[in-house]
This record gives sequence, C-alpha cells and structure tokens, in this order.
Amino acid sequence: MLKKLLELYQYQELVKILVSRNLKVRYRNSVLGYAWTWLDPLMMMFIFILIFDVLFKSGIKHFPLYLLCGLIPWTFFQNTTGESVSSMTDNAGLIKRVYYPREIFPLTIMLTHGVTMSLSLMVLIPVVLAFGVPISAKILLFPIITIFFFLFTFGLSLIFATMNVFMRDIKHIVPLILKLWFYFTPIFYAAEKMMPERILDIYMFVNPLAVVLTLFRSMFMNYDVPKPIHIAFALVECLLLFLLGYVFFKKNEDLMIKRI
Amino acid sequence: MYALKVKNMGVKFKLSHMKETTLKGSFVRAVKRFFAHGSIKPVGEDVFWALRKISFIVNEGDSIGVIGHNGAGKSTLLQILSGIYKPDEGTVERRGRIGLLQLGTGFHPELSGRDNIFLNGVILGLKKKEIESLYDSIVEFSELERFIDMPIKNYSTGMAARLSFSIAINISPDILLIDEVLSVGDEHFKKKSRLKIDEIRSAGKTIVLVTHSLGEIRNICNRAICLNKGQVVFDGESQEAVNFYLSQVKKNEQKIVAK
Repeated sequence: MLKKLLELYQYQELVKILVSRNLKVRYRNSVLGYAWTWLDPLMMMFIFILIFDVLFKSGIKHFPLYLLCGLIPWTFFQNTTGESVSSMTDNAGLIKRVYYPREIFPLTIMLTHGVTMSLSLMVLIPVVLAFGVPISAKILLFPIITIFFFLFTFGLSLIFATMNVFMRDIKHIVPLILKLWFYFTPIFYAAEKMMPERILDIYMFVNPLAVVLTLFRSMFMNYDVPKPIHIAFALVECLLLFLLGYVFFKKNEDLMIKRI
Repeated sequence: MYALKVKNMGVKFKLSHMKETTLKGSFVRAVKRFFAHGSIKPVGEDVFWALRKISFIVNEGDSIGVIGHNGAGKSTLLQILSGIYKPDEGTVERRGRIGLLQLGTGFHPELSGRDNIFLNGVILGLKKKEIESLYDSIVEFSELERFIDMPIKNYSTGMAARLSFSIAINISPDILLIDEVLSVGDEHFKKKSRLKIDEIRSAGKTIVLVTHSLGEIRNICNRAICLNKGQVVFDGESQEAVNFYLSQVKKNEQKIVAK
C-alpha cells in the first residue's frame, strides 16, 4: 500500500494540473466566479439565522459566526463526497486513455474544494475580528485538523466512487445520505448544549464530523474544545475510514476499469 | 532488446457486467433468482475471455500490425499493452514510455485546446517544461493555430482528432499504439500523418498498429499478428499475415454461402 501511495506522489504534476483545471472551469478565471461559492453557505446562513436566532432563540453566542464555521467545512465535505460519487464514471474518457492511479479523480475534486474552503476561511477571519472575537493560538492546529478532515472525506469519497461504478444508482442515494447527515451534524445547533453527557459521548463517537466542526469553531471563533477523548476517537475514525476507503478502492480498481 | 513481452496473457470479462447495473436492479434480480432457483447466486456460465493464451514479443524498432475480425480482441489487446487493463492471467512487460492513440479522445470539452495539450501531456507522463518545448510543434502539426484558445467542445470531430493525433506523435513515446486512427482528417493531413509515422519508425521507435486497412499493414508494418476469437492464429511477416487473413475471410464467406 505504501508503494501505491508513493506512486500517487509521482503523479503530483497531474494532480496540480487537474486541480487548476477544476478551479478554472468552476471560476472561469474570474473573481466573481469565486463569489458564487459563497452564495450557498450565505443563503443557508440567513435562513438559519431567521429560523433559529430570530424565531426560536438559539442562545448561541455570535450565531452567524457559529453557522459559518460549521457551514464552510460542511460545504467542503458535501461537495467533495457528492461530486466524487460519479467521478469515475464521468471521467471514463480520460481513464481509458493511459494508465495512472485512478484515485486521482476523487483526490483532485477534494483538493479543489479544499482550496475553496481555505479561501473562505481566510475571508472569515476579518469577519471574526469584526464580531470582536479574538483569534486564538488554537488556529495553529488548522493544518493537522484539516489533514484528518481530508482523510475522512477522501476515504468516504473513494467508497462512494467505487460503489457507483458497480451500482449506478448510488449517485442518487448519496445526496439523500448527505441531507440526513447535515441535520445529524451540529451546524445550526450546539450538540453539547442540548444533550446529556452520556448521549453526547455516543453522538460524538458516531459522528466524527461533529467533533471536526467543533474543532473548526474552537480554532476560528475561540469556541470550547471538545473533550480529549472525543477528539482522540474522531481522529482514529478519520484514519480508519481513509484506510478502509483506499484499500476498498484499490482492491476493486481493475474490475472497475472493465465496467466503466 | 524487446519493447513488449506478452506471455500467456488472458483477460476476461463477465457478461453480466457488460450492462450497467444498479442497486435496485441487482436486488430485484436476486429476489427473482431466489424464487426461481432457491438461491440468489447467478446461474450459468458468465465469463467471457476476450483474449487468452496470447504470447508474443515485440522487439525495439519493430512495427507490428494487428488484424482480425470485429470483436477478435484487437482494441482490448492495445488497452492491455498500454496498461489500462490488467491481465487476468499471464504477464505483460513493457520497456519505455507508451502512447495510445485512439478515437474518442481524452479531452476536456470545457477547456481550450491549449489547456488540453498540457493536460494530455501530463497524463502521458511529461513534465510541464517538456510540454512547453513541444507545444509549438504540436500546434503547428495540427494546423489549429487560430482555434487553439477555443474550448474543445466547439471543435469539429476532425479538428479534435487532428489535435489528439498531433499530441500523441509529437510527444514521441517509445512505443506508439495506434487504434484505427491513421485515416483521420482530409487527404492532406493523412499524407502528413503517414510521413510522420515513417519518421517515427526510422527513428527506431516501436509501433503497434490495429487497423482494418490491409494496405496500411503492408506499407507500415514489418510483421503482423492475426487475431481470431481472442487468440493468435498467425504471427509472421506482414504480407503473409494479410494473405492468411484474406484466406480466413474467404473460408468464412464460403461457410455462409454453404448454409
């Protein structure tokens, strides 16, 4: 497996060019193109502010910030997994041209959205300051947390992409799963404020994304850090999901190519 | 020195995999099978060997033709040689960089011709600098200077084929695999392509050519392999291979007439 990962590293030039291709197609070389990526999270933010802050008092401090810190990583996760599902079937033309590691397709989708997410988080920092929230040193954890978040997202994307080659209706099922997952993840609510501790332990264990989003909030808006045990479990789960997805993908790769 | 060494190679497909399957479909079929046979496992022979027990060696600088009826396994063979499919049995060894030239190109329709040249170059294993140095000759050969900044989706079929051909030959792979594309473009471009192929050949590069045009086999190849139902039925000098193939075609015709 290490050998295969090293092989992937040799193809970094291809990854670079594919990511810049995706960004180009998406943004059409314009600044305004980038603004589009904000449309969805901003719209969601205003809806949630209206419902949960104005109508039902959520009691969460700096609610708009709280929402954004959840929505930006969530949008990354949702876009990556949602688009990766059909990445193998959509790129059949390129895949059947010459051999190269095929996990490059989900990988480039993830890196593309990763760039978007990083840009959005940078834009977020002045907003955080405007709210009078100081930037804490916790922000230095960003690279590590992001790596684990990426591993989790990549592993899941590989599983979805593989399954969709064999069962073409998976791409219709994944959006449903993501929609349910969205409500199951603390984006417009604060799980630790509404659950007794025992249930919170289970919840954080079942949904590592909850831990990741809470960590993003600790980093960017000085929110409370999750319990160490929650963090430890979530990081292990991220790593395991990546390994599972990668092995699953590589094991089925040859059969997949025949069926695209 | 060999460029390609194929030993006892076979590749199989599952017939039930040839159609697109869905979770819903698989479930429905499994239920049906369960009620019909009492088991959810598929019944009957499902495996189809597209190629089997193929062995041959291509020496460096050889130009090999591959001929055979439709469905004999020619294109599958090229995809095996290029490493896209992995053989299910036997081995394939390659020495040098491979270029595969086939219709239905690996272009990204939204990107310009220029970007697609870079994308294809990198996929074929070149560094960005190498592509930059080849860029001008690729564009010049394709005669698409005026359209190179246009998205590929606005290209005509002929223009796209010309660009893909120019990329494949200018990138100068050590082993060039060609799948029925020497007949793209107008007479002028065809002639140019033929000259370029001759140039590549005299530079000592290896060529594997799949085609239905027996004339091309005679003109370009020094050796040819005749495939039938996934097996090598003839391997030898190109003129003899063509004769063998023609006699086979004749036999088949007689069979049909006799029926």
